[in-house]
Amino acid sequence: MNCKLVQSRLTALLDGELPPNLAADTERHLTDCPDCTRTHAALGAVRELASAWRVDAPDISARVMQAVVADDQSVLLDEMRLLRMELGALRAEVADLRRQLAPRAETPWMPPGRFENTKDYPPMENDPWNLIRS
Amino acid sequence: MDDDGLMRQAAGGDTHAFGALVRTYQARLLRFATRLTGDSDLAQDAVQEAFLRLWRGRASYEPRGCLQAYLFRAVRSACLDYARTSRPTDALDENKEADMPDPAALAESGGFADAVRLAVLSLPETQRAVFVLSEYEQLSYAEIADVLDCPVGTVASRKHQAAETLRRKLYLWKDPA
Repeated sequence: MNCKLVQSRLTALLDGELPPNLAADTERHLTDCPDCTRTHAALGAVRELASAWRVDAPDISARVMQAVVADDQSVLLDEMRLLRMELGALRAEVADLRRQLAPRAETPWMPPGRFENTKDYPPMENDPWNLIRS
Repeated sequence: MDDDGLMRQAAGGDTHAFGALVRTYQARLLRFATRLTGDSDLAQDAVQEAFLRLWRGRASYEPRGCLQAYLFRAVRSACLDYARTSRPTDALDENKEADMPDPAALAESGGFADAVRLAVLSLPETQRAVFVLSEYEQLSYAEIADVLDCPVGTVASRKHQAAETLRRKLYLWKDPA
């Protein structure tokens, strides 16, 4: 095993992430190689040094849950806004249809008020009842 | 109740179950985001955003027993988004290695903990994410690979590069070599 290969494995060895056979080979090399042993110790020291950076983690659960509720409300408001827009579009469509239908009602196919009762209807030319009566 | 059980309840609109998940993970996620960005306010925004993403997608969430990985991923993604949009900073440049202030000056101003903080923050983002998850959050290489969506071998090499860089940068403080 050469030193370059061993040194590339030292961090994984320290993290306990090397497979057992590779870990055993690497540790065997370390017992005979002062250079790699020094690097191994230095990398081990980095872990110790890193622990000096401590970070506070405040409780933000209330803030997150407020945001969750506000998000739900905003989703509902968006849905309502969309429904309002759709309702407005539907109203406009109905009004348009009314406008299209209105002139037809005002243009009679017969003069208005002329035949108010069925008995006033003009006789049909080939009324089947007339044929039966005759 | 486990995470998947709580998520199932949350999917039905149970905010109490979701609150339990928030309380379980918030500390780890905040520490991760703070060490990733170097900014505790931005970290709080990113963690909140990650939880909001989980809440919005609760109906389509598929329980696979790795909510932790999902949350770490969402926090990292939110940190990167915030850094790109609201507060552009070199600290979250994925590949750039930031300049390290003079350790002697640090000794006078902030001391050792500041030197470590700045040394970790000076790592390229991809190495820093691996280093923070491994060293501070005690995730295994396989768990980190799941979070970062990369092979385990990539995690191992990034962790080694990060450790080597820190060894170089912190040699003035303590270096047995």
